[in-house]
Amino acid sequence: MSPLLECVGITKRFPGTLALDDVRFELEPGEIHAVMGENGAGKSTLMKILSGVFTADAGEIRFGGIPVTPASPREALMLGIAIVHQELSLIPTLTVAENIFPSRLPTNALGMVRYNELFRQAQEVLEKLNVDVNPRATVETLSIANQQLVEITKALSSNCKVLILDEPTSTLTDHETNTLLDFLRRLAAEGVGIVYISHKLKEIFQLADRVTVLRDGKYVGMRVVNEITPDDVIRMMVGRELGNIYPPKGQEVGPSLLEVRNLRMPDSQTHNSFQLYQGEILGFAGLIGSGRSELARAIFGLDARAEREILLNGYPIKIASPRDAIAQGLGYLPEDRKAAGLFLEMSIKLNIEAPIIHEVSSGMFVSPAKERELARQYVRQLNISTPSIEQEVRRLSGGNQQKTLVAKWLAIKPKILIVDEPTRGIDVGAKKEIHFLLRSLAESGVGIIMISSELLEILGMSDRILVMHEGAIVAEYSAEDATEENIIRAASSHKGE
Amino acid sequence: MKRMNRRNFLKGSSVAAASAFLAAQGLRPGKAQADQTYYMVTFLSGISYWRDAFRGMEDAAEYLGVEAIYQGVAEYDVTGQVRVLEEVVGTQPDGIVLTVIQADALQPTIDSAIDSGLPLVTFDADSPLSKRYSFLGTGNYFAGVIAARYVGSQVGSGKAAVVTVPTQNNLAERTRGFLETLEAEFPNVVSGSQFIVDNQNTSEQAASGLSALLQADPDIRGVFSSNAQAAIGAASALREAGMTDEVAHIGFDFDAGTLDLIDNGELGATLAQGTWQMGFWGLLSAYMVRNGMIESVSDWQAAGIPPLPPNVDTGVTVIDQSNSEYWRPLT
Amino acid sequence: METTTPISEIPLKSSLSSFFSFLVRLLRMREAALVILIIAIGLALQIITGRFFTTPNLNAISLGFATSAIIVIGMTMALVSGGFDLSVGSVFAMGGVVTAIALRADFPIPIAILCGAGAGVVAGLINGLLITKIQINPFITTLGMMGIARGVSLAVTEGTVIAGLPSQFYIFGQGRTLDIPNLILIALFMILVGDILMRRSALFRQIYYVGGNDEAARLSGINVDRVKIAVFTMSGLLAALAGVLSVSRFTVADPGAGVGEELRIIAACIIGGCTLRGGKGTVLGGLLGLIFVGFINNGMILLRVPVYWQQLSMGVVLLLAVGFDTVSQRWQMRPRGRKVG
Repeated sequence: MSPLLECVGITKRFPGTLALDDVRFELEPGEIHAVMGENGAGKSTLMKILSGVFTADAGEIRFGGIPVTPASPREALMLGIAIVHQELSLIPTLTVAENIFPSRLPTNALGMVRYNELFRQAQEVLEKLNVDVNPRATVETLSIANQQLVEITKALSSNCKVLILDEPTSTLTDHETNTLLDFLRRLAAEGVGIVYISHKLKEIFQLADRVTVLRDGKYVGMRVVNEITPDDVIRMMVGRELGNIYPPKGQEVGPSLLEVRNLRMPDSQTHNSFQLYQGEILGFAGLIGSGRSELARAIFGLDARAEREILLNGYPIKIASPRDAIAQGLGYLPEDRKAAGLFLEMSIKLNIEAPIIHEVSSGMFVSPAKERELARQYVRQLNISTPSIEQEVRRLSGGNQQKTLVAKWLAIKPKILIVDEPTRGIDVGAKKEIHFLLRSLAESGVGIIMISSELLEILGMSDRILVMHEGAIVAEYSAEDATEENIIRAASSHKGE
Repeated sequence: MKRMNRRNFLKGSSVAAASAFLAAQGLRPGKAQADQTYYMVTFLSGISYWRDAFRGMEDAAEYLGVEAIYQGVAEYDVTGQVRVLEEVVGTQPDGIVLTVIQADALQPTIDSAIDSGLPLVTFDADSPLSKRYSFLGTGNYFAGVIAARYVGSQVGSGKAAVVTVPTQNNLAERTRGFLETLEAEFPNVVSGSQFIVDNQNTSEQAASGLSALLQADPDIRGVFSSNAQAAIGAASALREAGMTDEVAHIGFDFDAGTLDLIDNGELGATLAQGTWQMGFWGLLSAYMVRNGMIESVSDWQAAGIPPLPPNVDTGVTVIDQSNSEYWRPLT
Repeated sequence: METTTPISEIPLKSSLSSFFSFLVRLLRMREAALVILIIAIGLALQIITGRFFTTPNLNAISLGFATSAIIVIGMTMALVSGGFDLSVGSVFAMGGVVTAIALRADFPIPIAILCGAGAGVVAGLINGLLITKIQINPFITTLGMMGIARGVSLAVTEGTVIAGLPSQFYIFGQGRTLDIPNLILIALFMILVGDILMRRSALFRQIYYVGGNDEAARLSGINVDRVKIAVFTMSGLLAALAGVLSVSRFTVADPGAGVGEELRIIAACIIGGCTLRGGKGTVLGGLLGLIFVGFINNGMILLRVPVYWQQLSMGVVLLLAVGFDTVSQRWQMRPRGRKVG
């Protein structure tokens, strides 16, 4: 008997990267099959190919033994493959029932919605799945967990045979997570095949029957969960040569540059303290949502409600806004460069000079000569590939966009630079350039805090590594002691049984 | 200050004349009706145009010793006015002086008020098919006729422009009266729809629109501005083009600005409606019906004949330099 | 993938092709395109009617948009900052009314003008504070202020106009210097100053950053709230000043003045290159947009388009002008290779 879903030789190439290389995957009816891998391993790309968002360049998908090529999410849904994304797609102001049947509302002859019929149908579906949610409730009044159940109900209501869940528990509490896992087990018992993507080893071992591990777009292996330990999975996920995209580590570290004491976020009881030394690259590792970016924003004066003491060169300083932070010589390269970093529709020149307009001005007017000189200097120094400094940033490649953003912060001549996911979504060449640039900055005495979800980057770049888990710094490793295994363990708080 | 002037003016002229008239008819102010209440109901209730009508009503109320109350809907809102009128009828007043936003929409409410024995007269704008006892007002069309006669008589031959808001009903009526009268009575003065400037209710648009038209057609010798903003803007356009003395310009309605323009020669004349008359005679009419003073036959109600003259023309006055001083205290 | 040239190679290009690329860049600028369009419309009207480029006609057109041009400066700032100001028409009336009341109370002319300007500053400041501190969006905030400012003007005047102002006051709106109307000179001066400030001043440059991406602006150390408050305050001030000048031109303060002005001004700014998303636009562009609309309006009257058709034509012209630009932009931006997110 052929499996419910079977993929062979799936290959997907994006400009500059091979996202998936000869990947295979299979799913039996009633099975919960976990897919694991680091960020960038290719999990999301594979799921997007299964659910029709992308089309594979090569390979075959067989659904119930028949080859299929879903060309759109709609086609995938018609085949019976549904995906529930990390961000919920429900409309918060509408009722549960309306959300479950968005394009299939029962109507009367005049095209008016027959609400009683709609609520009855929704009730039926919800009861069948044992979901205890009132179909008449508006979605925004539900807990996140119940919203997730509604989202899954919506996916299943169209007679779905394969359900793909992408990090479904990242926003749930422990109790809610357990409810969801129970629900998924019941669902599997009814014959639905579930593909479950998660970083949380604990959940995988509670829930999944089998696990497939991907690394760097390649298939590493598939195991039956009962036959392995979490450490086996971790070993499968890592264990790769560090390429030469990382510069040699720093030789010596200077005196303390920045000290953060008792940083407490508004809704948390945890107090975090740490030091940053001159010329050091301090890596912050952890899962998405572990509080690293929030910590960075709090240091940079972006969260007025966070409590903390900051000492620069041993003296307490006050940072109430990014303006203060910049004045003290701090730079912050945010994680989402398009939403928070760049002025996409403005030129490279304007982007670079944004924090230091006064420095390219004579009197009250901006000096065109000075602005050009500044922009040219950094375009050359960072090797930003562009026809002109007047080029709109949105027209640059991701790597050149990121270099522009780095240039902006170099222009303030920082003492301390906080970089959040500095190389996310850019090609290998640009990645390497940014890595070498950060190292040379550190060597010139700048202290660098680097947040990254890419373990290799953390290991390859950092002189020292702090690991965060649920808002707290839970471990510290020197460059010599740090291994992928112990970082993953600390980040997922799996203390290696 | 302004109010004082108005009061003095009122004491000195209109009331004296009116009471002389009433005394001659053998009627006396009814002190016994001190607890009677009469309403004026309007739409666009904030605009200054109604103030003069209500001033007339207040003057009559003072003379008769009754209470006059002003009510209306603030917007140009048909259902809003129906609602306000129904509420006023619901308070069972002694009479209503009403201006009508839309003839058909208000007819049922008017008719039921009359049927319940409530005297109701309309002013300025009518609902002619309703059972209202009387309508006091000037047709907008007729005002346009007067404007045409003014312009026509001043301009021997040439062209005439209209500055107005084409989408506003009452102004469109004035425009129609103006254009049709010119065509019928002054064949040497050419006008028509291509001579209409849309001032969108602002002086700025009136000025730039008329300026352009003056360039397009240097033969324009007459201008009719159908609202106060149009008159002020058009006067500026003529001044800026250096054509004030060559063009006969008549406006509509009066305020401090238009009177100033008339006095310094930048606006030939403006048209004033008898709004005070509407309010004053409107209340008197309702009062007389309410207090059984209509004795045209032994019992007009039983006879089924109208108690009041169905249409009262309150007239249009041309204000120019010769008489503008008499309107000053009103602004 | 885009093909890009490293900056160091540019000097190697031939001077002819660099002149050509300069020309292409120039044409891509909204201002240049508008100037060409405006000249073309002017020439066409001159040829058809024979009386477009005459001193009186050009005078009339410029007088027609002189006060609007002053409001355009503030609206450009508001649009560039990523918002817009619907209250300008009402604040325009309020500024005039307040100044007229002060004049009637025998205040000296400069003080009376300051009173009017002050009313505009207050309205704008309230807009700015509500938008930044209470975080009501600019549409609702300025819509509310539109009603409030109009209401204040109507309430204090009881709906009537204020006339009988001292004749020296009329010098701004009716006087001439070197045979050019003072109103035009004042407007040109303010436009010039506004354009230079927006183009070159370090302080005003912050408005572009805030409109381009307010989160990125905040991270770049710009005090986003303060910039927005300043922008709306200036918009209120300029609208009120325009209102004062309008009173001086028409000799009366009309509480109903400037009805619908906000939409005409926004339309002109959008034609001139502003976007509702913010971050883009120049004062000069806004002025050109205003001239463009003024020429079209004037042209329709010169061409004797019946009044009933003028609004329709105006709407079509607006959509064509902006639509053409949007399409050409998208065409320039079309992906040259397959891009995957």
